[in-house]
Amino acid sequence: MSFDNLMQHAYEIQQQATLKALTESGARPAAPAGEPQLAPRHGEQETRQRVEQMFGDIPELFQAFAEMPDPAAFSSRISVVDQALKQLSSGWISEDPVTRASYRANHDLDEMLDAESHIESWTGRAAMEFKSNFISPFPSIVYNQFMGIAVLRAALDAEREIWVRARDDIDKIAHDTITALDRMDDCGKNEWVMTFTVVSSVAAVAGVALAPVSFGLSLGLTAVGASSQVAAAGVPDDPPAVRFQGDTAPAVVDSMRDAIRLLHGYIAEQEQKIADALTSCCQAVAQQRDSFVAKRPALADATQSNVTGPLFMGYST
Amino acid sequence: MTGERIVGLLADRLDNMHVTAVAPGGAISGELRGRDCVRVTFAAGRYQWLDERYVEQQLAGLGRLLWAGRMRAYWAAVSEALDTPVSGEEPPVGPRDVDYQAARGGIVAEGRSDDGSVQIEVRGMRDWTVRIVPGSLRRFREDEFSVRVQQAATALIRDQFAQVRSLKDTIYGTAG
Amino acid sequence: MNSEPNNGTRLGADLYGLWCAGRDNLPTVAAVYSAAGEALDAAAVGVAGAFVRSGNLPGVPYGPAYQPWVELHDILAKICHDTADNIEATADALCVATVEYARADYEAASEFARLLEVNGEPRADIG
Repeated sequence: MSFDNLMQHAYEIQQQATLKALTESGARPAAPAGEPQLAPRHGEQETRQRVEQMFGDIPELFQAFAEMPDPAAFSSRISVVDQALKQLSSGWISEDPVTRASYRANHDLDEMLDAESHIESWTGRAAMEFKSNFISPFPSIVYNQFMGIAVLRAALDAEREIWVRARDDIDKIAHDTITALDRMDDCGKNEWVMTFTVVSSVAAVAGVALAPVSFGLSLGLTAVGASSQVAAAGVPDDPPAVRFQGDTAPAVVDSMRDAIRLLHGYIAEQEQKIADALTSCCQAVAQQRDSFVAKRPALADATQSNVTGPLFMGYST
Repeated sequence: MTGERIVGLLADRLDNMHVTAVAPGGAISGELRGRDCVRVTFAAGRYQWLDERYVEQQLAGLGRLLWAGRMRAYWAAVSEALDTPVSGEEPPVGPRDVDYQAARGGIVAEGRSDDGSVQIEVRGMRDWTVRIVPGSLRRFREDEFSVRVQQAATALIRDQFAQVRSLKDTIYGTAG
Repeated sequence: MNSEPNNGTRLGADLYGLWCAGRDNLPTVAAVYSAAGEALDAAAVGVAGAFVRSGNLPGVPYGPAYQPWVELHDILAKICHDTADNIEATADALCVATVEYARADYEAASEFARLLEVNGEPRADIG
């Protein structure tokens, strides 16, 4: 993938732009190191310095992109979160709300029903509460936990997608700039169009519905995912096409700087979409915590001296 | 920064361009290689029967055809480099573009062979005029005459590009 | 509904059931939550490194999504670990209860022992 050569392209741009700008000003480039320098013409040294200054920032502009987040770092974590999803895939539902991928039900979770059958006949307060407050809502709570983790996983997908596309976009900017420098001396007006694919990285998922547990409103979860993965994303809007022009070396490089600035902005926008959805999710979970986790059963804190008493197990019938 | 220059894709395509054409009468063929290297050849046995006036018209026609071929190859190369189909120039936007396009149409480029026996002139890369010093076809062998055409054509192409560059610097240069 | 407390053989059968719940069923479910919690923990190890960017890229150092992601992650991971703990503690309580009931009723204890003999020791099927 050409992205691996990004810094090489950056230096090429700097080199080409410098040569062209020097030619434009009538100055000659400095001789390569180790060779005797040309006898300086009047003003040539100042011109060289001025031109060098004009394009001195180019490698730095690309350096940050060369070191930007690696999509692979997200891929590995996504697989690990997937393990958690597989664990909590219950018999009731096993479909990821974002990707619509199916997860085989984890039948170990069914053993909660077996536990229920063994505790059913016990009359102690804690035993009965365990049935009504823990076992009874269990399927709904597992469902909601699964949804929460799916949203967490989809957010990583979305973040990864941003950086996959950013690589393509910065690579295109580099190539288009080189092409523009190669073209600027030809007869036509030097224009080109760039589409920023990063703009459509993150797709929203219509409210992820939760299983109701307690009475009252059940708020759904806001999810975002990688647009390439979101099942119901629909056809995305065309990413914006931006025109650039440059018939001199400084003009071409200015266009490049504009493109990079735009790319920065689009990346920030897409990341903010993820941030907003996650923040909203945290709030939704906090507001309906009972839907995501049952309180610690009283039975869990029974002691040897009180466990058989009426407050805990009581008697069986 | 030293070392070998990495060549961009477009530069590579332009450096390796190859365009061929046959003059309207069929007696003369031409090819353009790279940016400015032109070679003409005559159909077998024809050279000795041609006169300067005829060759001037034929070379003018050949010039037009080669340049049209060159521009097609150019747009194909640009499309490849930008990874999107581009087949021509966008309409002018703003006064500088308008000025540039008008002035470009009026550029008269000229090239002549080292000894002056062949001269080629083109206005706006559209109106081609070739002048051959009378007697040149009899004075020079076919290969010697071809060399002179090559010299004139190369000089013309370089003059055209130099004038374009200068015009762009004038019109687009001050604002950077 | 018969509201008379079970005793003797019937209680023995109930105790065997409690023991199954406490040694097999509940631990199996607890293990699911432990595994889910561990997976979430593993996913977050060094995750800042995945988000980090420098220079003039926006959102230096980790971007706006990192903090909310960690927050949601921590909520869900804690839910998994807490659930595992709660279920395990409940399972232990059932086992303690079984032993206490058996101690108080000799016939029930015998029936319980017999069922253990016949059906084998209930064991969680983990992994």
